[in-house]
Amino acid sequence: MKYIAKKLITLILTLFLISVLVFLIFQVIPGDPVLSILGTEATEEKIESLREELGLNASLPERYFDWLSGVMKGDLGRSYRYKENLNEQMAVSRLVAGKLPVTLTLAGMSLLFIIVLSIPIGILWGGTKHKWLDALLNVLAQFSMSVPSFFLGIIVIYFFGLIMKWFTPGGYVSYKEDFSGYIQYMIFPALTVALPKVAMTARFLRNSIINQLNADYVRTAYSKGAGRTRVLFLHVLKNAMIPVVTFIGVIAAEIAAGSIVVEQVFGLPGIGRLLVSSISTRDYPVVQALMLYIVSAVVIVYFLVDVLYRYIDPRVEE
Amino acid sequence: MAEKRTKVKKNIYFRVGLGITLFFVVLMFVGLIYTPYDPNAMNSSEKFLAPCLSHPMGTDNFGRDIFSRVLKGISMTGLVAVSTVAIGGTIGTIIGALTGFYGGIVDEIVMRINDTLNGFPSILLALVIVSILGPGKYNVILALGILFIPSFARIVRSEYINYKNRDFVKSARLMGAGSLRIIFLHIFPNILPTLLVTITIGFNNAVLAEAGLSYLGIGIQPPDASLGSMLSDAQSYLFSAPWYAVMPGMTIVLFVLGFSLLSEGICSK
Amino acid sequence: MKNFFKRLSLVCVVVMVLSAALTGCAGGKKGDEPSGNVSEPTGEAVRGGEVVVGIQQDIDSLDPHLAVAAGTDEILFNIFEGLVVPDENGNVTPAVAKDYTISEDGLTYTFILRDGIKFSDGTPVTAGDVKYSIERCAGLLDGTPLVKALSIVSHVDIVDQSTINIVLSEANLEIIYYLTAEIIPASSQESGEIIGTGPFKLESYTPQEGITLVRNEYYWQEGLPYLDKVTFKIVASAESAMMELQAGSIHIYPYLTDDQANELAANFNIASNGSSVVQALYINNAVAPYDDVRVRQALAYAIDKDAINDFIFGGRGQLIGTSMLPDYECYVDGLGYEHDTAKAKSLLAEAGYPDGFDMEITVPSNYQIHLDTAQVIVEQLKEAGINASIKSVDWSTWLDEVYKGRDFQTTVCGIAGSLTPSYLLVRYQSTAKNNFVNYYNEEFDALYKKISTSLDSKEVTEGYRTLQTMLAEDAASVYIAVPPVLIAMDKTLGGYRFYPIYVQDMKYVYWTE
Repeated sequence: MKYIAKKLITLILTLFLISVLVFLIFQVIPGDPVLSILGTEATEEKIESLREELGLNASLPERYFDWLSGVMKGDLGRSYRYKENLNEQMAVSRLVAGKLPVTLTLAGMSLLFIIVLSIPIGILWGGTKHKWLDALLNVLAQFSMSVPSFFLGIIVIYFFGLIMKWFTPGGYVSYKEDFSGYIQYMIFPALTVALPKVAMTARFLRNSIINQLNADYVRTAYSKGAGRTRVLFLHVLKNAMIPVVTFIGVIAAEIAAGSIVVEQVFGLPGIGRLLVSSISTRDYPVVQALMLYIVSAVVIVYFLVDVLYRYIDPRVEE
Repeated sequence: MAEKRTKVKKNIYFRVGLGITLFFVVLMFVGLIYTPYDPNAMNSSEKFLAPCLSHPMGTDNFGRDIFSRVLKGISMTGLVAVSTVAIGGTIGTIIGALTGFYGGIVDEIVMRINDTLNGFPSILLALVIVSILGPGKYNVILALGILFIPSFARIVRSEYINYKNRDFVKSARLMGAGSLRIIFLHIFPNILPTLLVTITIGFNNAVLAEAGLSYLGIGIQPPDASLGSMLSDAQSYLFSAPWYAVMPGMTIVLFVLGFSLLSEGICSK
Repeated sequence: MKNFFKRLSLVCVVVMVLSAALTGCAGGKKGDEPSGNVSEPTGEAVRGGEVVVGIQQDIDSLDPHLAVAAGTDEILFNIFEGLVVPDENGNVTPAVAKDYTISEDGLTYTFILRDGIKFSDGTPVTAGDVKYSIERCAGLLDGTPLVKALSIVSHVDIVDQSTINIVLSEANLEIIYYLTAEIIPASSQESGEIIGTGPFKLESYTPQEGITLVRNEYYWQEGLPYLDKVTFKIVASAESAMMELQAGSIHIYPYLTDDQANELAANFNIASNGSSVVQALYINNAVAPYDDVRVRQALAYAIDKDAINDFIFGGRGQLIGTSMLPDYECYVDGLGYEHDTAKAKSLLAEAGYPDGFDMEITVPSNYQIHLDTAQVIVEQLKEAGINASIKSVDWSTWLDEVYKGRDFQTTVCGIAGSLTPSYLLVRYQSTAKNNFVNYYNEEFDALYKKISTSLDSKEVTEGYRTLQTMLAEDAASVYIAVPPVLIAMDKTLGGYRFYPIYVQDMKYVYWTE
């Protein structure tokens, strides 16, 4: 309990720090949200009235505490850039809620790929006696870890999209319109996100298995006449998986935060793209909300992994 | 010593990694002084030529020679990587050494800031920093350099915590060595192997980060060649000129592969 | 232009009634023939169906009076209409009004509402709605004019249920083109509803994904529109637009590059048209060394526009030498500077820069064609000894630093023209808020002021010509080209019309069997 409380306090402090930082940073960056909305046609009157309307004329601390007290009440504020109708700006929560499912689907599907692919590969790799298989897998892993995600995305688009014609690059369909079409499309970006992580996780599992294979209890098991497969699956795997859970947790945190580049390559309307466009249009309320999401996603996933780790590994004590 | 050397010889990763890296270092210097064509020279009659004898990697949408641009891109990326790691490594090591050795409240604060920065996707942080500084070669170096400080600081710090209570440190202190002397003369040589691995991984990440930033259009400015911006331009012509994407893309892969094999090799050494 | 202005200039014409389209070259566009040609399919037009149009950028506002991006206006054109609307010849034709008259002094415009015209929710359009809309644009409600040109409207009077007088504080020949300002219900001030009288109504808008319109059941034009539903979908890139076209998930894409157009030509209807954008290397006239006219002229001589046209527009751009669209009657052909590196060098030497200088070109990074153009320019300037570099910035930084802050050396961008030629000249007055190039010429200011309130069309046209010549002679900027618009369309679609302004008019578009 004490541990959880401590972590929660750290989380809140971190979020507070980040929000202040973001607020300050956008004072330094050139560019003005009002100009960005009004474009080249802006007259002085128009600029001034919009500035007033968006509450940009208030002082910096005033604006910050307005925002903060809103967040406390669960109100993330309103976008500068997007309007609900002629009179009202769009609520940030609504805007983000529209994009979050895409990012979460991408993260969930990639995580699924990572777990489903890396664990069997890792076991095979760690358990194999063949030197050539070990070397082959190592080369493959090194290679996939060296491919930058945007290049991997381009390769996936070229191969599966243009050559095999399994999907239409850029032809993203909303989950509201056609759910199976949506999932079908998301497979490819998810694969792009997953592939290098599969390599990392499999390699991590392999090293973990090899470590365990050298442990005393394994020798004891062998001496009692247990076969290699039996030793591997009954004794080694359980222990070897413990550090891998943490490793996968770190990866989960990373992909839950969104993959800006992969969303860009595949034209996915997720939070990564929303963030990039909100930064470039200086839509601070949206940027603030997304930063909050990203940081909390990371910290919360870390926290869950920690708790899980305590649960599965009895050696860790409070 | 002799035993170590034979081990290195046997280490195939180390050798291949070193080979690739050296190859790229050579290309980097070649790119600085010589390219077969002017990498920025345009030619409207030679747009989108497929790889051939006179243009081994083909030409792009302005009829520029892709091979020359890739060479220039390697120099540019290499320059950014070296400077970035130099900035991040130096500052990070100093911060890590001091906080790790002394500990206390400053250590606590610095590490909290470190953790916070760690929570961000690095490309996002770079995006924010470049938004403040503006795009361009030197700002990218500065942004990535700042970005790399935390990882160096964290690793160096844990090494110093590890070493500061060792016997040889205690005896040095008994012999009257000052703190700074202990930090830099006694402990530092011991963390060099770890630092070396961190630097190699740093190069690896720097190459990827520069390419990523340029891919998003906020890195190296056109018409200067950069591997990342070439890829982002090439994506629009994937159908008609696939080689335009493949050439710079494969170059990045090899470049990064060299560093990661090298660090793998050093680790198992 | 001739006829329209001539009629206005004759004092004896007391009242002019327009029932159909304005004849002649109103607004200065050379009318008569549609600007672009689209080959029509052979089949019968079918009613109903759905069309997906690929667009490049998110729309900037759903408020027709606040929307400023050309990419937004071209969509909102389908939802809203003004008292008059532009047609494909660049003239205006009555829409919400059935006709109108202009008083002798050019100060009072009297509009008669169309009988039985309704908003897309079925409520009739009243004189009050028109008054509200015009006053909103003119800034008479809260002192903030949303359409700058309409700020000369002094008051709007409701004469009777279907007659409205719009009274100006000063005469202006071009004001009618700004009375295309969209009519929205007065009730929207409270409700905020997005409703117009156009052929389609808004169904849904999803930021960063697209906007869906459905047929307006109450549209006043009998038999229009053909389609039940139009979706404007934001595509990730030009390349993915191509793949989507081929896969059939979008049917119309209006922003092809030349290479793509050639690739698609076999399976799609391809059409091209001028874009009504003046692309130029805009130069900050107020900072050294660009405050020296010889330096600006040297830049103009050093840049090879033909090569740019070749590289960027596949030779389909219209080269220009001044800030005017060639489609306008008043356009002066042959202005500007022929590519001549030697002359550029000698001018530079004369100005005191025999070894050239360092130059920075700021480019908004969201416009690939401007970024590409800047790259070609950098290479060309190298030959003249000028060492140029590109600084690409995001759109809002560009607006803040270049357009508003005027803190730049040079920039490559495009300025979209409108229905009136003055739009491209007004910004060069030294006092103009949007004179971001800091052009300063007292003669220009005096002449512009003189003709802006003139009712003599001949004088206005001549004035416009002189102004263009001044800009060219002073090399206010290096005017490059009007980039082409290239559109690909499904072969079984018909009825697409090109406009001299950015508009995707979907009301005539139909499927054939």
